[in-house]
Amino acid sequence: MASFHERFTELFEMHYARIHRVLHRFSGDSDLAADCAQGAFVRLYQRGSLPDAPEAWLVTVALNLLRNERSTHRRRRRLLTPARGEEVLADPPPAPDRVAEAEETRRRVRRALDGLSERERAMLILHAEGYRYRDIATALGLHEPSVGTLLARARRAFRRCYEDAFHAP
Amino acid sequence: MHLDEETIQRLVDDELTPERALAARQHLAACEPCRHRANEAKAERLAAEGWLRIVDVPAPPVDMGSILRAAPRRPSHRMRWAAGFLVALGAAGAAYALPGSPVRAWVDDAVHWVSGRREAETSVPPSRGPEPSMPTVAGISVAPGRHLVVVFVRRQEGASVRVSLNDGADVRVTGPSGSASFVSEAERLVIDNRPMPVAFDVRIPRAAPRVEIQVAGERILLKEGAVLVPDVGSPVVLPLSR
Repeated sequence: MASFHERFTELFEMHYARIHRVLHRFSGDSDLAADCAQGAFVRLYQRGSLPDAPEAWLVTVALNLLRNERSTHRRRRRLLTPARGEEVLADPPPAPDRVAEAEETRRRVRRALDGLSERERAMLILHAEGYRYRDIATALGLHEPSVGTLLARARRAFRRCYEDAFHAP
Repeated sequence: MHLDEETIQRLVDDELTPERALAARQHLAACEPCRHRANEAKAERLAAEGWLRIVDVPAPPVDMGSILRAAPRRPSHRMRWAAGFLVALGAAGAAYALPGSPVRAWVDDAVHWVSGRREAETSVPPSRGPEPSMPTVAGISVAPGRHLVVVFVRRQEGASVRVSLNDGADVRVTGPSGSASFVSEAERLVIDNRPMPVAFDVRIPRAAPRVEIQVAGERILLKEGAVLVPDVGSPVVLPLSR
């Protein structure tokens, strides 16, 4: 039987990149996503034993850490000087056509994601990353038998937001 | 009677039991409006997943050793039980040793009672091996996409790469901390390896359509679909010196 350390290593190898991707899609901030993904693994290691559903546990903890961190970041951003704030929000420098086009598409998707409620965004991202309805319900505190309906609404809302972002200046 | 939205969505997302899925498919075969709704739900799902992939970036390299060092481990449940047992044993021993304690008489009676029926069994508890050392590895994981080239920048005397296939979702390259820097580019994963005799580890998802490993511009391995070229099986250790 594999030891806790071996199982932990295996989970880390299998799920770190996946959880990073979930958090990055959720927040748009790769460094923050990396911090929170690693933080979830730190907590799992500190726990010293594996929960019943380790993948769902990890993503739940990671999303909670992200929410906490984001509220801290928001507070920090409010304390920034205007010049620093402009720098944070400034557009990237001009690039060749294809890069610019890809960047524009990315921005639209990001805007569409930001237009969703936190729950809709999390549902879409978790399901696209392969989490089952049961895991999604656990991670987001939802009633499992209605996950499909909520997910369908989230996908429709995403489409609307994407189309709006496409037509926005 | 038409299928409800939850059922259609669960059918599209493969969340129905086989029996319910079969019943839903039979209904779709005979019901044009429900079939239309199911097709729409499937299109919504594919569109959403496609858009989400657009914002992806590779996960930054991470050193698992630093995570473990940052996480002083609390004792496991089993260890806590063992500690509780030892405390209880200590308390019982103290009660046994107290002059005039009735515990001594109870224990002696119990020992006589047991020894009268069977020989006490003795066993040597299995020894536990040492705690595994904390690995200090660095690496990177990226989604393989349709085609990914893993590039080791230079030949490296005494170094090797172990390549294996797994059921994960990402191509993962790791090596000892400080042995290389890892950069993800479009369809390329560049490992700027330093001249050290180290072993790298490359794990490739079986589902990845095409992954190639190059050393100094020369291909040493190609995985295309289920085929490996050269056909060396998995895992395989390849030298980085040639």
